[in-house]
Amino acid sequence: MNDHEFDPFIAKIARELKEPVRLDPRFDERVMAALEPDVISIASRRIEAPWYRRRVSVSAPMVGLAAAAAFGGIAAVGVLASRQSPQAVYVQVDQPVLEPVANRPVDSANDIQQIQFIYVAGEAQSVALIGDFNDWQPTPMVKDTASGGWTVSIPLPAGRHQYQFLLDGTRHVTDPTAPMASGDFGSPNSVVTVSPRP
Amino acid sequence: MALSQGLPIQNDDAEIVAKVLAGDTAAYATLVARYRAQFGRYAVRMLGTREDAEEALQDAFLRAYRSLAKCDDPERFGSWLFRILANRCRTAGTRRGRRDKTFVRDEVALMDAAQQHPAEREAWREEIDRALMMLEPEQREAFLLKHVEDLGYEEMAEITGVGVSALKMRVKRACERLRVLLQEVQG
Repeated sequence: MNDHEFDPFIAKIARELKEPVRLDPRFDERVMAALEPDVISIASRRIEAPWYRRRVSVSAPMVGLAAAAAFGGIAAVGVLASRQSPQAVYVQVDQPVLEPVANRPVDSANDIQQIQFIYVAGEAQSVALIGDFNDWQPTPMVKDTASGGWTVSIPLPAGRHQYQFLLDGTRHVTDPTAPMASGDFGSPNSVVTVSPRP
Repeated sequence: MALSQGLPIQNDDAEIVAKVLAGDTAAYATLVARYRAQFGRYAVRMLGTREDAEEALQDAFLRAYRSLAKCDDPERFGSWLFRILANRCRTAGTRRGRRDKTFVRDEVALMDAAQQHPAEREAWREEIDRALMMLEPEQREAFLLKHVEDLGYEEMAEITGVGVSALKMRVKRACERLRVLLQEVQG
């Protein structure tokens, strides 16, 4: 059946399924009551820039680049440089790279760590991070004009998290350098595993 | 990407969102009332029980509220909320797995149906619900989005993160499977 072909049998099924469903008459009340503890300031809270000194783990020859990245806020350079020569970084457009370059403890009680996601995209006008940690709702990534990389740091609890990059609001891209997992419905997702701090 | 015909776009959603963000929590009730029926129906059809559906829907409303500041296009709050709900349904479906009770028994709805069209319609409704829950979750999702929510494939792709061609295949297979399961019943 193509998109426009009318199928009376399917239409008959759909007609039944379009019938309204009765929910608990107090549903709205329950939702609104549950909102009370959640002040909107929670929604407005943004991830703050880390105040602590960033620890960047890279191989020895890349220490200089990493240090420059740390000071300049160009994490992508440090991360990518640890994989290949800096010149190659800008050739490999549209190739996502994820690296927990700076596992920065932010919550000792809950073992939450700040993880930095980096993506180098040649043509994208916007890049966002989506994953099970944000209910697959886009968390915008910030572009560094010097490196062309997009980056965002988010706090993640120890454990396994699935994610993708979302380009221009429409294009889903997995990270070929990260392990893959099948999503709930079979589509592949990238996986980052945050190790608990020793 | 422009969203297509299916999901409601209410002109004043952006105003309501702005009110809530400004601290008028009560204004959120308008959004709950506005989207409860359509999205509740989707959740029930997707998850198979009213209890699970209400839980997923409530969770979606609460998550949307907490993340309201991140809603980049408040005029399309409904689409954004629906995306959250679709994910909650996926999560709920995965967590729950298949239960013994694999079809919707909305007793109130069944009672209504029986009053309008006794026995036959009630049986037909039950068979549809049973067949729907026998579909693979991704096929059920695609079928519901396409044929019940009347979404276009582009919008479905935006909500599910799945490519258009894959979605078309899922809908096709869902239709084929439903036909096999239900044509026997129809005789």
